[in-house]
Amino acid sequence: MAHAPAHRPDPVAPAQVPAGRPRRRYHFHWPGLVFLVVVIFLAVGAINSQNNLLFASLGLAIGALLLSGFMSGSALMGLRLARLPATPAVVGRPLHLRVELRNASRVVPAMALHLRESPADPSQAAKIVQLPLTGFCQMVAPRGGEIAVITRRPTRRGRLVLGRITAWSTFPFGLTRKSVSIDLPQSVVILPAVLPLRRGVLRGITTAARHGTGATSKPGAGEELFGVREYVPGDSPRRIAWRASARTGTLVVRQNAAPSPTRLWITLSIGQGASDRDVERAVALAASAVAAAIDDHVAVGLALPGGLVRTPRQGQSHGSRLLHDLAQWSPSMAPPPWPPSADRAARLTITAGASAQAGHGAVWRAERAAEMFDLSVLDESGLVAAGALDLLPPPPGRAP
Amino acid sequence: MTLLRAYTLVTGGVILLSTSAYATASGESALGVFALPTLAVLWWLSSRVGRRLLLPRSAVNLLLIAALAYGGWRMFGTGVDITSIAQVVVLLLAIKLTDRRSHRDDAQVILLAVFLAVAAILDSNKLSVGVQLLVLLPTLIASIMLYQLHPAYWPGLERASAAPPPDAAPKRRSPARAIATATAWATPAMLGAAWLIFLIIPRGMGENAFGQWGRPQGSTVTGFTDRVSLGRRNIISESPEIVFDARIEEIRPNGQADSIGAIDRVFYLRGAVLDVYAGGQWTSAQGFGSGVIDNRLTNHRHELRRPVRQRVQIRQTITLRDPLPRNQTLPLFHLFPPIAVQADRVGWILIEPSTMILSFRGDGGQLQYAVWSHTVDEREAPPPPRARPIPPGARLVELASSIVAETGISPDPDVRPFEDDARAIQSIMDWLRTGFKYSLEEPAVPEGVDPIDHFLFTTRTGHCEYFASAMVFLCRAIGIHARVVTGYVAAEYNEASGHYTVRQSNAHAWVEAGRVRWGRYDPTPPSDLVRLHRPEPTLASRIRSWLDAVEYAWNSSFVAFDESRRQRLMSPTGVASSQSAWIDRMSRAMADAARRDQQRSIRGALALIIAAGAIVLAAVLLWPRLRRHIPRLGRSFGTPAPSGPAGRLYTQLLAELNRRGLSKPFWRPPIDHADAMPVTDPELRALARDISSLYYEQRFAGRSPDQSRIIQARRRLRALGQVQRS
Repeated sequence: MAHAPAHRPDPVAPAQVPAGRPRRRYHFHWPGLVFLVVVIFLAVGAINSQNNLLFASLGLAIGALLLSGFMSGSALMGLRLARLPATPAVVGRPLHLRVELRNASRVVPAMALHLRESPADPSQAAKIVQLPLTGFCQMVAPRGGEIAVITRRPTRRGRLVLGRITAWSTFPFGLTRKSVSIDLPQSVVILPAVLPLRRGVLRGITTAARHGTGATSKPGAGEELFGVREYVPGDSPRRIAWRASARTGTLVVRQNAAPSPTRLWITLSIGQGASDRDVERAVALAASAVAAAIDDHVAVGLALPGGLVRTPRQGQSHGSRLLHDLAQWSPSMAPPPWPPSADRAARLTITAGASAQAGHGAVWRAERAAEMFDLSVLDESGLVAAGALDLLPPPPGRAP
Repeated sequence: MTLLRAYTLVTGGVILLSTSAYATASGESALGVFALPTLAVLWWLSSRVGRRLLLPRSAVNLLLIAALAYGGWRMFGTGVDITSIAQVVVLLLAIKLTDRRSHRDDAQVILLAVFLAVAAILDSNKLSVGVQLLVLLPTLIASIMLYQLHPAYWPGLERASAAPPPDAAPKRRSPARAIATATAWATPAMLGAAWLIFLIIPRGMGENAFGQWGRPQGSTVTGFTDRVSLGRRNIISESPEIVFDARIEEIRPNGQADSIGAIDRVFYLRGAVLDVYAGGQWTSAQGFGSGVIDNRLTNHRHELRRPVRQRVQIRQTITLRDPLPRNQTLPLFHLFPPIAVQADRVGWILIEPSTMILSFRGDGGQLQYAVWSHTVDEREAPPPPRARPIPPGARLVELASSIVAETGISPDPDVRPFEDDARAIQSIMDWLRTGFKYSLEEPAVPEGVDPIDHFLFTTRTGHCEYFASAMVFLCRAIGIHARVVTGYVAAEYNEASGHYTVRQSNAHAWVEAGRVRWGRYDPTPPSDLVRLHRPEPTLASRIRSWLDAVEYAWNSSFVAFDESRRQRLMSPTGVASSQSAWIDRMSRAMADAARRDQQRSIRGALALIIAAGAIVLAAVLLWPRLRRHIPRLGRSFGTPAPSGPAGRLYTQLLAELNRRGLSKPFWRPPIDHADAMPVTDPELRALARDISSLYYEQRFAGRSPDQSRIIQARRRLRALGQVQRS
């Protein structure tokens, strides 16, 4: 199974978000109103009947109100919030938003804390994750701390921009709702789903490219001459360049250039009539191809409609960059920037929509994305990821 | 213990304690026998099945409607009283226990239990009720706190809680323990606050401005009546229910009061004097009182007659256990003759001059009063009228004459000296005591036969009413004025508290007779009197006596706490002086208004203002929430149903999942539920995910999903349903 390249820190998101100045508020809510009605009822009943037990009950009710204000106020007064950096997020895999809660109070525990993350743009966030982003922490002991985790499975790639985080509680008696909120801007990039490709699908494309014919500017085991260098003990006598040695008067050996890696250009091409789902399938295909190619030490380049071009390179870091590009790419109907024809790299065009331009090389159609993936080896979470992109094969006799 | 288990136990305790408190307060043993086990079983069942319903939704709704209709019907017939409301609350509680689906349902269950506790308070202020409520308080606090942490409501969220940060102080306590600690100090803190507020709130204002809320007694308790019908059970009762506590003290010249009660000392507390007999029924010629004494202020002592300086004064302090009904004249039980009286409530004390019977008419509620008299020996009352009583009949005259003649006293009042009257009366009393049998069984009196004749000449068996009635007739037959007196015998002295406990079974009837002075005579055989009114000194009676002493302390110090006591407690702070004058003025103004028949208008205006304010407040605060619920009030009492095209489709999906046994837990998000469905049914799983996504788009993204996708999903759902049904 292909894995997403190692997480590359999002340049937009700060590594550790410092806690700002919290805002504390009291909210009147429905149970409080019911309690108020009960208190009024008790007061009228006690005065009307002069029933001392009712007077005592009225006292208890007012005492509960005072105690509730004291307990919740002192508990939330010492509460400090901070958001920890989010773990790498991939569509279909759990996204853990971690909030650190610390209780500065020496005596009073903060209990029954509800957490709510407020995205900066809720409508945009709703496309990416299920809203609301809520969590719960049972207790933060005095002078203690807890990390509450809000877990969601992103259903779509993109940038999730988080804004305010609010902790609220109705503890102890549920009479009033107290909240502490703090602005902690942070964004999390949700990478596209990376699924295992069918065996041999990518190899069939890359072997078509001329493997090892090019040379790099590094010495290696290639066929082309890189240069000569001084002989060092241990060098094979076969590699001694006798003529050059004679000219220079010292023993020198031939050194070959390293062979150039297999190069693969992945191009996305979106045509008229491509549905949103098709585009997302195409992006998932591209991401999976990038991950598989990086795992196979293929130098991968990316050309996306809208003008973004990344030349083929190897390495996990480059792969991560490409996945971030795919995650934040806005679909465009513009023709993709085709790679230069002189480049003898392998080419893979992933199309979505009937009228998408195919270009040279292999063509994968997003509409038939399920055929490219090896769904049989997926585990439960992988299946969820596939389901998130609607990649499962359509049921027999049903429209996809 | 897990939080869920603790919540189940504690909240079950709240339900049972509040129901038990109400059953104790109302004295409805059937409620305790049937409702308590039923609620316990329902709570246990509903806790075991989790979020599923015990009954189908339609059945729950029908039961709710039936319970409300029953309540409405009852209140329409008997008026709005606390008993009817509480019974409906118990029914609603039982029904809600079958309908625990969300945290809101649990909140409603707790709220209903609280209402039941309030109903118990309104019904009775007995010590047993107070003790149960005292136990209920920490249980309720713990229950509400656990409700806030209820793990079943936030299971996914709880699972999401991670370990503490590594550098955080390692002070981790379990939430259950933290709740126990919070309850342990919140309870006394609340009690302290309650005590302060209890002391600060002035008493005596606005009493009964909105009518009587509690369950009035007195009129329904034996002994509180001014008529006795022979042949029917009137004041005779075997109930051990306590009616009032009586403390009888001697006031020394230095003002100190000492209890003069003793285990072997019996006091007769008069309630009504019955002197007219017709058709087997004794009534009072005057009714309860005629002269009105204004007793607006609660702390005034009213002199009824000039006290004799040389004589010792006896003070009887009576604390009634149950509240009095409103605007009914009821007797103030006391020794004979009274010289002063003081009540702790606003009302009118009435005195009937010829019988010296005291009665009270007020706005109802708990009453404590004190009556002063000179002595417990009644032989110095004003003489009865000199006119000769009407003879009851030749047969009785003959019988009475024969009884008296046996002792050598002339039965003819014209020749018999006044000094012999007492002996004559005594001879009649002895004749009755020795020749008749006491029985609580009500003898069957044949049609057309006078019950007294039947008792004297046929059965020779009866209870105190028959003995007293027969003696009155026999005394009248020999020209001695006589009358039946009903009231209570204070015979059960509690040495621990120095007071008498008076129960319903202590109701009694005796005789006052004489030509010059009224004297008290009790023809009931003394052995039967002692057997009936004084408990045997067993271990159980000792325990009961100790409990009675505790209850007496509770009643006299807490239940009977009034403005004067409040002022005494607050006076060292200097707060009360200004307040008391203000309260006095308010009390006077209210009483004057009531006298001018303006109370109705004041009450109406107050009710109108409060109701209008409440409606406006509720409308302002609730309208935004209610508006969402109004279109589906007829369909469901529960959580709002999703609306909009995607919402309706989502509801249909949930119904289909229910049919397939894949009900979605309320706490699980729709897409999570779709993901959690069995892999073996990928079609249903994919469809659930599609529909959930549509619903999410509509709800969270705020946009209408593509109509074609909705239609397609609906078709797929319908097809799946058909396959399932086939």
